[in-house]
Amino acid sequence: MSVSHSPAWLQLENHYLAEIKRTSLHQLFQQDDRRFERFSLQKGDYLLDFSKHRMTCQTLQHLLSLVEQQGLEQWISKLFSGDHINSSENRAALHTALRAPADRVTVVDNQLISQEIQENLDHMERVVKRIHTGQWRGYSGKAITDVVNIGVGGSDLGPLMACHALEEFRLEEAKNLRLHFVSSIDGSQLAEKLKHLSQETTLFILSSKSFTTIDTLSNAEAAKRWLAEKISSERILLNQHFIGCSANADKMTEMGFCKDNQLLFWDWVGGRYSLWSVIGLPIALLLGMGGFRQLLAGGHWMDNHFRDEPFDQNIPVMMALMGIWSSNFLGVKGHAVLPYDGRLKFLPNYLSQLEMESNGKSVNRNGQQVDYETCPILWGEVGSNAQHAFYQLLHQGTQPVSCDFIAPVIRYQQDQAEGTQGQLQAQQQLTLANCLAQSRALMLGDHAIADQEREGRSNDQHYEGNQCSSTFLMKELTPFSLGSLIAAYEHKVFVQSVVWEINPFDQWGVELGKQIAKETYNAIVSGQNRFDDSSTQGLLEFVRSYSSDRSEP
Amino acid sequence: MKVSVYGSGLTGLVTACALADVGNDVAVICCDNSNFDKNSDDKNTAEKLQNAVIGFEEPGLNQKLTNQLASGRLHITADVKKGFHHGQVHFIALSSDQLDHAKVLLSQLAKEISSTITVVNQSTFPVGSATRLKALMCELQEQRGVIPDIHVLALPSLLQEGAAIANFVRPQRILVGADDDWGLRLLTDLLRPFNRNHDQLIVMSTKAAEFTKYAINGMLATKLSFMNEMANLADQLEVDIEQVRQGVGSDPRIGYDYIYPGCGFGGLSFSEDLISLARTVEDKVEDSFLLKTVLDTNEQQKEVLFRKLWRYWDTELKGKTIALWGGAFKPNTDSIDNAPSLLLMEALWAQGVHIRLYDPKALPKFQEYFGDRKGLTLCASAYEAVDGVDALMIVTEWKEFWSPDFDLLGKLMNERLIFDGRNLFDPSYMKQLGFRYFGIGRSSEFV
Repeated sequence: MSVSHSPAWLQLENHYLAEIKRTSLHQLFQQDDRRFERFSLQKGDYLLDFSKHRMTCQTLQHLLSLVEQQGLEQWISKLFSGDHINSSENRAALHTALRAPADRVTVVDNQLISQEIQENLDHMERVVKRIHTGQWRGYSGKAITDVVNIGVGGSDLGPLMACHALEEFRLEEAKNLRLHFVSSIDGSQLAEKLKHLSQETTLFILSSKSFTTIDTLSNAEAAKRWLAEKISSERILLNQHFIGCSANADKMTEMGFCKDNQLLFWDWVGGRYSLWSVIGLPIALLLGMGGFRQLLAGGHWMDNHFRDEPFDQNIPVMMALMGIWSSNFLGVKGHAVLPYDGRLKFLPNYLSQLEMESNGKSVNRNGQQVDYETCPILWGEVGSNAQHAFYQLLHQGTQPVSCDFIAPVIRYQQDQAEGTQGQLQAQQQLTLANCLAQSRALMLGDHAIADQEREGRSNDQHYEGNQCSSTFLMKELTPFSLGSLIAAYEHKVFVQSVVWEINPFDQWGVELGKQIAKETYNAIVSGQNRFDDSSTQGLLEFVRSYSSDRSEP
Repeated sequence: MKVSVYGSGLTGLVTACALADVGNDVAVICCDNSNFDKNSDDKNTAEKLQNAVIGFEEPGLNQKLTNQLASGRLHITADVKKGFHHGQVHFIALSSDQLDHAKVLLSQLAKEISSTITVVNQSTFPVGSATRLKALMCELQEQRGVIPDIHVLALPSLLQEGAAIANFVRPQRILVGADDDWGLRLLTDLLRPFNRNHDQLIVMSTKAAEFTKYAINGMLATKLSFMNEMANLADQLEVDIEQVRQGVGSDPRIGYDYIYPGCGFGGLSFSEDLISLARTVEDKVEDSFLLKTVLDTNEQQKEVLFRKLWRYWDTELKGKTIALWGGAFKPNTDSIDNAPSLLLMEALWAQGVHIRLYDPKALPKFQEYFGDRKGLTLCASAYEAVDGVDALMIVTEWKEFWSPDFDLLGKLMNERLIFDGRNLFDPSYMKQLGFRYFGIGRSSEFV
């Protein structure tokens, strides 16, 4: 039976029609002045306010019945104990083990993985230290000054997002180390970087779980050729200028990477969950291992919270339930992630992979077509900037959209000149004011201002309000709190997958395109193949017409 | 004249001995450690100095100290109050990072003494320090109702380690910073015995004198770094930099001084001064981009021998043993402050190289600095150091390294391979002897 025909689901549907459909957030807040108290959680240095969702205590009870009906408790226990919950690939999903304390023993499939994890963290630490002390040398004996991370998807988005977010926690030893990220297969990022880099002092991190990703291998090949302009020995080129981070040791060896330059993770770490593994090397290079371990500790804090707290006190569970309620019962099709902090600029990109690649599915674990909505379209931007861009649609468009507002409270506590610090702290308050004001405006619409002010306005100036949002506040942004935030979203995704009965740990949807791209590439290069659809054929002919132009003298 | 000298480093002791030598009654106050009221280190230093034991190497200084102690014109103490009441002139000779220390010292002096105070600062403090120190002292005296009569002068130390006594008693020039006549007259008279040939006194404001000292060091460092860069290019062009150096030096606008290429310069007074020029010159003064680059270039240059070795062995250094000749930052001193050898050794160790180090004087300093470190053998002689090594590196140009017994070297070494950071030998002669020889900007390979 589909979950959408289950008692808990039907109860929610009925409840929606009877109690919620005709109420607005404005009314709900008017009727109950204790909403915040009822619908917010304060745990550690974090606060989740989900009171700005169109629901009542009754709704929440029904939603909690739904997750209980779906066996969430057992699923959480399976997640942490390493059951093969990635059913289509017959693997565990044990990113939580990556951030467990060193003395935690985890055995999976008769492998003592906790030991392997610590060994690879130690290996990572040696690499980081060697680079930080200036003793990782390029071919000419100069110390490495630039590290370029070549990776795509999970091997790019996580490290990029975290490095951008945590720049101010840069370790003193890393003060002159420049980190770069290269992902796109067209080589445009790489080509631009290479102009400003020196072969003598540049180290490439080749990050790919499978070590077969064409995007990454193509960029790596370009980097190799660039290095070979100056380095004649393949051994020196690879030993001094490449580090591999992968779950495929054999492939790394085959490509000529020596053992010292191979950092390993495992097939039970999903790509989009891999920043906690050696894929996080750029983060460790920025923060040092101390900072990286803080990130892990923050993630682990959220793991414990998620596993141990009752569901009604559980941040990831509440985040998930608000999403379920919005998508499946209120008809929301879009979800915006709106960090009010420029440092979290890449968080929306990161989360769009995490959520959409995990739960963007339409068959359940039994391979049956689902008859309900799963993951909504997720996008976002730094909130204060997005206010000048797509917020118009949030306020006055025709789409119901839910939002996550995210902000740290204190910032600019140190390391700034006195005059600048005062100003920047004022700007932080201004940012928080905007964050709070926007969620209020979205919720109340015109009701957010006094009645007399509203009178005489044209329809163009009318705000409907009634857009739902959650707000996640943290004391400050640190490696630890960022770790907790990311882990909270990971678990949110997991809870939703349990409700939707889908496997969030595979991504078959991205394979077909890869496969067709190979054929198409051959078609472009050889100039022969034909396609049975006229559109692809037409596009191909346009491409070929210019490709052949170029090859003629 | 009665003189108090605060600070028992090179500048302090040389100043004190030279002034006592010409008849002054001099007290040296050991107050190099903070908390000088109760510091037992200072008392230890004072006791040692009373027995003419100094904590560093400087040719002739030991004898001078012994003589002056015997003459009765030189006293050593750790008691700053004795110094305050002794001197008509107070010389401050602290290291360049001790400005705060000097402030405390001079504050106490201003509180203790109500009559005229004349201070001569020899320490390399940020530009403007003399006027700021004076203002501080005046304020303290005014607070307790004394009308201040305080004179603060700058006498930047231009002493070179290894030749410090000669530099002081037969100076080529004496740079004096004075903002008033009384102080200038007093100091001029004190320096009269060292200013006899012709007038070497160059007088300017204290601020200008302080800045001149920075500029001199900056210029010298720039010359050295420039020549090092030329040498690195000469290596790539396979040109002998020694010939180029002679050609360049023959131009009188450039001159022969400070254009010897080498594996980096070191020493406290040199590079620390430069760093503080970049960092601590008065508020709102921009950093010197050029000097920062000079310093960065020098840090790179300290590893130049490592890079040559790295390329010679195609990055495979693990398990090799290297002899290092010389570790002090320059000959005739045991100082290893900021020495190129330190960076070089770290680089070699990081690749798994074993080092056999010989230095005529600095070995105890290395023992103290590194402790019993794996990968390091301290050797009692130059030949003991090269026994069974895969290569020899020369880092400091001690006299005894200039003409070694090459036959013996060749027999003792596993491989006839020399990396010379000071260009002591002739590449073509070395080639004839069957050595592969790599200098800075010259090599037996180019012959």
